[in-house]
Amino acid sequence: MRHLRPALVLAMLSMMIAGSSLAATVIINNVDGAGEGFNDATPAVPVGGNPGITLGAQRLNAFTFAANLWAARLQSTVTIVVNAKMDPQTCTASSAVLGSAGTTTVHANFVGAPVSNTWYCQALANSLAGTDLSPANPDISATFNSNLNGSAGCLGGKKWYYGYDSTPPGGDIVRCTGNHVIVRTLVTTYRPPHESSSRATSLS
Amino acid sequence: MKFTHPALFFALLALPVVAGGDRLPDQPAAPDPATMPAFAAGQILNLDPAGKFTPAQHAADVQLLLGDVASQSQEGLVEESSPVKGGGIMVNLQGRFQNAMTMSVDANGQTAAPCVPAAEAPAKKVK
Repeated sequence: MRHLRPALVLAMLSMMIAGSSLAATVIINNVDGAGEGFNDATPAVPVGGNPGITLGAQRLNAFTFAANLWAARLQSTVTIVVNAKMDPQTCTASSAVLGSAGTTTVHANFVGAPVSNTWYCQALANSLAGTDLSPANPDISATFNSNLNGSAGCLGGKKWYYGYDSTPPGGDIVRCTGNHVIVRTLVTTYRPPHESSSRATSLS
Repeated sequence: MKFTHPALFFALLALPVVAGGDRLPDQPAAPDPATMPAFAAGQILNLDPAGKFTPAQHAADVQLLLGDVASQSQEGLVEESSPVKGGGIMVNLQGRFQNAMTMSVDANGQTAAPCVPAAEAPAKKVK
């Protein structure tokens, strides 16, 4: 199995990136538990156009805002589902995980696949196939670090900025992080998981 | 397992910017050799839009920070038929192979936030 050639990937992404009249729908599934992450009930003051009045609401609003930026720029007739949560992750005084995201499944040899024997991440595969190839699974799973809350022991007190305006107070971290990891997930193609594995069946 | 064409991803990321998204500087400045860190195998470097290399971060450190989500282990991953007619085959990645962003602060208070291609970086360092 081979991976995609650059020109081909660029062509496919160009098809997926929307013009002004095209778009995709991105749905954020809040998979946090009660009272934490996106459901944190700590009161908050609306900031930077984000109208949320709880910490959890502001977090979810900001994440949805970032997702919608991409929804407006992508072309897919298949809804892109993102399972998202904010959980405590590693954070020390000098380093931290901001967030992570990835496709939940990869697909190959579906009707509409431009290149056979090549794995495509789910959102891209769905777009190319024109149907949801794995309805039981979200397209993307994303987790962001809820420990970035201003605590001195976490990156010297840095915290997320939840405004929509990308003009955070000094030192706060803007939503581009979410944008960045989401788009990387959307456009990633993979070498086959079985390439060096003897456990899975070879496509050849 | 490695991501295909790492440089390609930067080109892909630039496309929506060109299409009207967040703006980037027209041309990154050339890196200043005087401020460039020593290079070593397995390091992850971040070149910011101003052309400055931010502190190197060792892939092994990143692996420790990220834990299982950075795993590129293929152990137990199984090909299966898509439940959709004409859907070909699929593999559930079981939460592995995720992309991540980390942030570090150096002794001078400078921050670096490299996006870590989890399927690529840790493998070079962790044995």
